[in-house]
Amino acid sequence: MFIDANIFLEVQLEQNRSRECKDFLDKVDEGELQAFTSDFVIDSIVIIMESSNVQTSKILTFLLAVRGSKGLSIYNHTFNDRILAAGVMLKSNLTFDDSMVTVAMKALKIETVVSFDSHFSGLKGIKRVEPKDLI
Amino acid sequence: MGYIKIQISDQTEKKFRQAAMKRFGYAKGALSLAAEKALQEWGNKELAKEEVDKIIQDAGISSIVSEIEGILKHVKGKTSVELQHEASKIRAERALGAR
Repeated sequence: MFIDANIFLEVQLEQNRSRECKDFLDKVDEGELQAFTSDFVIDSIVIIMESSNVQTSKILTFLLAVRGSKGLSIYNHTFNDRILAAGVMLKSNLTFDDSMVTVAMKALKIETVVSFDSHFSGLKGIKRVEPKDLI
Repeated sequence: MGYIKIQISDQTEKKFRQAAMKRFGYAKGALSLAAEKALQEWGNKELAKEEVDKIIQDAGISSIVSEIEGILKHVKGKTSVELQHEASKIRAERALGAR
């Protein structure tokens, strides 16, 4: 499965559904569940943290925690992935960011994305699930 | 110059030879050039990994959730999905602002 940025952001915002996201991320962290996210997704989260005036030390600890997670692996995008993502944009209504997620999933041969973003619903070859479906 | 004799699977060898020839041509030394690049890259990555492992150990990080919980609590009026989509806007604004 591939974890989208909004799952991490839900915990950071401590909104309505943060409990299920925390439980899900804890399972991944402990290695009970194996999951992927991408460097691009992590960059997006860092950009949001930075623009929301979160201290740099907190950004660093977030990155270290991601790196130290037992069940979370990071897919590193290539420049060619960006070209493929632009191709996905041409054929769909997805944004560049969402297209990058589909490119990473294809490269990893993963069909399940954990996300609250309904843009991923109904896409061919992609099954969107929410944290509550996995805990 | 060092000399390393290694054993790899047939599949890896085939792919490596193909890639090396495509990148450096059929000239003598193409395989060595490709191997130098591949080994250097792998060595650099591993050393960086060791360095980061040490930082993680020293920092005493417990879990992702405990490090990020409520960190954006002060951001009001946006859902996590809306906030996520702002990342691309922020990237664009920064790129335009840098002109």
